[in-house]
Amino acid sequence: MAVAAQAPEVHVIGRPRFVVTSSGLVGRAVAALALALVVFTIPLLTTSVWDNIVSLAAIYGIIGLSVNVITGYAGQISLGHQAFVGIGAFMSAFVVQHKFGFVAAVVAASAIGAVMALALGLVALRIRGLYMALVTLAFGVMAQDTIFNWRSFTGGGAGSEAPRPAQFASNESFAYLCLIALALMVMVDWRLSKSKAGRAIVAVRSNERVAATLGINTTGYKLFAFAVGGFMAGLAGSLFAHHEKFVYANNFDLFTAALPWVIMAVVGGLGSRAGVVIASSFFATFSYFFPSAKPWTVPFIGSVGAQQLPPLIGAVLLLFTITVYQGGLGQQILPYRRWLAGGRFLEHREEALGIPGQVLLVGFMVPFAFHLPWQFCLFVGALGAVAAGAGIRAHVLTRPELQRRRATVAELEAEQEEVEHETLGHLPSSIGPRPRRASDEPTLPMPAVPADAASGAVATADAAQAVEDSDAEHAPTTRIPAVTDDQGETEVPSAGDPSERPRRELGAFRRKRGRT
Amino acid sequence: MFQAIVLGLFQGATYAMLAVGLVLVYKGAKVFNFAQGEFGTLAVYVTWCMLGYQHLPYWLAAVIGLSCAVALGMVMERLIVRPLMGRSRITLLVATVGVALAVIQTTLIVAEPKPQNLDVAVNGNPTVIGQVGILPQQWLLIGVLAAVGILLALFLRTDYGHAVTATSQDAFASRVVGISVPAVSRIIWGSAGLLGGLAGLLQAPITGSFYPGYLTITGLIPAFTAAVIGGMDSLAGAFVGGLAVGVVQSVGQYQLQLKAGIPGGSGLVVFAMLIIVLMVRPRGLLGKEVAA
Repeated sequence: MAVAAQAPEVHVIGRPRFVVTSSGLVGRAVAALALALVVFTIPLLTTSVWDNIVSLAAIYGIIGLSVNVITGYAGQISLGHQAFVGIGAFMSAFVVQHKFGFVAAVVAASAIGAVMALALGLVALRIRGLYMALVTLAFGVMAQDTIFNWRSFTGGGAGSEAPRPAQFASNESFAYLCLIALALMVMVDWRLSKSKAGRAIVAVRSNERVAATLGINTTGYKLFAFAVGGFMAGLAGSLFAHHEKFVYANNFDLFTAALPWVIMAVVGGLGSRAGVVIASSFFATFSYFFPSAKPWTVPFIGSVGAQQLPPLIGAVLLLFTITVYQGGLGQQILPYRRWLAGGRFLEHREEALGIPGQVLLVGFMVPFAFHLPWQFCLFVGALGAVAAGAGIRAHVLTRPELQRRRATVAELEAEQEEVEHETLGHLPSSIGPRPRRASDEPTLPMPAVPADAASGAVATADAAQAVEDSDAEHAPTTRIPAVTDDQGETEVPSAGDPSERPRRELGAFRRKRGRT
Repeated sequence: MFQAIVLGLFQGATYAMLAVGLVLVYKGAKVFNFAQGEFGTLAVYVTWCMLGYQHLPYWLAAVIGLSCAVALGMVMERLIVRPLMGRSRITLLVATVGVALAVIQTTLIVAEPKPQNLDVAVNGNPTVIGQVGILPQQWLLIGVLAAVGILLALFLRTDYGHAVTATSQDAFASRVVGISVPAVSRIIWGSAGLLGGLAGLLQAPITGSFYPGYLTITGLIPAFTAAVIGGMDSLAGAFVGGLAVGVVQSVGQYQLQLKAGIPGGSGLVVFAMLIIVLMVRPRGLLGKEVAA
């Protein structure tokens, strides 16, 4: 999903390449520094209780990254992640109890997490897809019932003590330790996804056979992905053990641990580092935002303890992410990330249309975190959303480059429609092509492609393109099935229809899309 | 040992009932339905609520509970499964996990998180088979399972049954010959809900107590193992696999957990069974194709 979002930028012919100005660069640097400063001063500003919550958020961030490596990059759904995190936690407690020191405990926990994940990775070499999901689920439950209740190792039901080392005894210093660990793991993930290994892992996920023909060691990279994911999970488990100071088998339950972890990775947007980390820390903390003293009164249900609501919200968020917002949080924050990395803020009209919703959510959440009444929070959020919507309508949507891009896509779709109708038009309407409805049209009035766009395309089209286009014009008309990519966009492979006017531009556009 | 086998056979009947629902959904939608156990839990909670608060007769309460399970299956089909039809199966699987979690959390919120008890459907003295007392409820469970098997076999011979089989083999070709694929999908998810509801409703009085998500926690993994052993696309295999898993789990619990003192022995045995079957014979006992 979001892997596609990370793909190199597409440049439409006739549009100058975006170059960031020096003042823009300064602005971006200031924003990035401010963001880092805010994240790393939170433990200083907050009370000791909230320091603990910050640590938990960072630990969840590492867990989210670990799920992301195995599920997002390697494409193996992991419903048994509590096994890796739990074994790390118990191993860390075990090592510290035997007086080997904190550093040894963290190393041992990460190592055993990696080893355990590697063992499951060996199974994944034989078993694939849905069956592998089932195996991870059964493995996690087995670990939770058998390994975590093994008395001499984990203390059985009594739990295992995991004291913090002297230099990280205070909540504040421990929060910094967790934040630094998270930063390190983000770095590892970043370097991984930019390296040959990361690309190989994604290639194996996309199509194992093609990857193998390209000379990629599919077995090795699959196992490597599992080991990296297990390493991160073990590290998170170790930090979790010392954060809680006491570990119990109950901490690693399927319904309170493994499934929410998968959910937070999916809601964050699998494959999107920033999205996963933000969503994970949100899942770790948002039960603390609810005022817990008084129970909530929910219509038709009665009074509800505030702690019971967040898991339900998580499940509903998951279903929304899967059915409606497919890229998850990573897709939503893409404009901001791209802007920070020195790119354009908006690339599509759709991104602009998503902003009021984001403003509504943030405008609601921020006052809500300070325990203001929810009616007020909703009012603030709605006000911000309306303002953002008006601003976007007035300034952003009129920008020509956004409109031109949308218009090109609309034309491609119209062309596809025509081709389908020509080839399938003789079939009865019940099974033939669906007639175009009014609701298919873009809701906002769309101006026609400006003439300069077409001429610009002609000017920049090279000779090879022209030859290829003329070939396409003589090709027989065939029905070409639409290819749907991960984001649900419909891409049209080159269709030979002689009567289209801006043929050259479309051809260039297609080639560009096909190449990236 | 003999007692463990007999008890396992009766426990396996529940797994078989759940597994049949799983196989039905797999045949229809090619998805592993993680919400199958929640159909049962929902039916049990609604029935319990109708008995305790509305004081309805048992049969009426059970019918209301089962219709809620069927409704959940159909609503899930309409809101979650159908919009996701063209997407990858892993996505669909995560979606069913989401539905299961949402239902569990809703029952947690609406009902209290403490264990409750459901009355047995039929009273009477246990019959003794070799030192094992079998409750009338357990005979009822076996009887209903047998009836479900016979009814399913008969159903698959009707026109609707043929439509279901055809759709599971080739959805596009079925559409061409005039079968309404959404209608078939609705039938499949509705009957999956009914089977899950029956499993929960008949099992809950035997275990003695139920709590939010109890059937998912206790029954889902054994039921999946049963479906895999039988072959994911074979209804008969699901019956056989369910009984087999019940017996093996019961024996494992007896030998490992009680005698050798290994915690979680029953889960360990089921996990081993799952791995062995997938490694050695991925298409199961009676299955035709290897699922991906």
